[in-house]
Amino acid sequence: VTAKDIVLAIVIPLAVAEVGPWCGWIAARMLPWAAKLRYGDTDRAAIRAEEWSGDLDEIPGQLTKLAYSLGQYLAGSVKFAQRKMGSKVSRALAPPDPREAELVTIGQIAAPEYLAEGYSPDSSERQRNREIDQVRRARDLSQARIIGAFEDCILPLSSHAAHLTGTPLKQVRADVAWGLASVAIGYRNLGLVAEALPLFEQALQLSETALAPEDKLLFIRRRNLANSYRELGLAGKAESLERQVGQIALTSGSTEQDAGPGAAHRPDLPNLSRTTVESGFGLA
Amino acid sequence: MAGIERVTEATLDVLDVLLQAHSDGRGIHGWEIKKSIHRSGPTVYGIIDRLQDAGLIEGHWEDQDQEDSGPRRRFYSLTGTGVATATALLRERRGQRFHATPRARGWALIVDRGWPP
Repeated sequence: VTAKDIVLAIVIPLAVAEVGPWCGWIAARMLPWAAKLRYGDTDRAAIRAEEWSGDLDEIPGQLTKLAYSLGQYLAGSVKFAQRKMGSKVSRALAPPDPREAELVTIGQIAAPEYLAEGYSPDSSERQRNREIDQVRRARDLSQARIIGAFEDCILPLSSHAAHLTGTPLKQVRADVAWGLASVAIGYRNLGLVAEALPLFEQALQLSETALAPEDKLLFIRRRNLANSYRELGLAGKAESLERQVGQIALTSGSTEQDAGPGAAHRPDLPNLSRTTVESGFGLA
Repeated sequence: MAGIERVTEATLDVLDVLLQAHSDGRGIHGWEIKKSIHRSGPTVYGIIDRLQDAGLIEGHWEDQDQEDSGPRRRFYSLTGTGVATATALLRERRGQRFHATPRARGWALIVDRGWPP
């Protein structure tokens, strides 16, 4: 009697006899997990787990039971992966989330303070940092699809923000307009005039509802928009705006130079730091 | 067809078996469907899910004695809409082959009519 004979005659049958019942045991315990994978935490998972356990009773062999459970488990895993993947895809394809725009709006409102604080005409390092910051925010905004969200989100959220914070609506809109104009200038300084244009338009649209007609910022924003129209070859639109700018300049006694960087130091301007930053970029 | 997104051959098999069970006046459980059409468990239960979601079938648990602690069987039967949909689908997709599943039909006859005696 060789060792091989002993293995064939005793060890293998013993191993099969020992492992067999375990297969059935494992199969029975896998089914609730398989159902949970396939259906999540739902009533249907509990129903199917019981049904499948009933199916196991119909299967004679222990290994066959295990194969059945494995099949259900694998199918459940595939469904689980599809569910996870599906939710990611649907999130990616979902329309812009208003909360996303709200975050951007908050960022916009915070931006003027940041820029005003960091600005110094004499500091090239600070200016560089500010430009980097503008580029970064421009990138974030394009990712947040703020241009598409303007009508649907920014305008109503401005009202919401005003209501929540007790800030006058005109002030909130002026802040948001400031943020939009800053980003537009960032785009324009990068040579991306087409991208800057809708932001300039939106900034002016908001400014016209938020600022007094004689406000210097309105003057600057109209001229920045007119310059963008010119750069994009839209002469008709540019001239119309330039006529408005000229009329305002005549009636208020301002000249074009008033809105330049030097104008920031005039005591009658409503917000020195803002005008300095915006005109410093826009009238380059 | 209204209610079902995809109508595969396996779906038609399941509908055929369910329609036969309906004509025999009984419900049929998942394992029985699986054995009748020789498809895998995940396939059959996936189709049952879809048919149930579409409102074409309904399920109910078997009555069980209190002493019997084993897993219960869940029986499925076509709803009114399900019968109409299944009939129309099978007629449209299988035409002459409609009711051409002697294996399943024979099995149901044997079980329900107590044959052989």
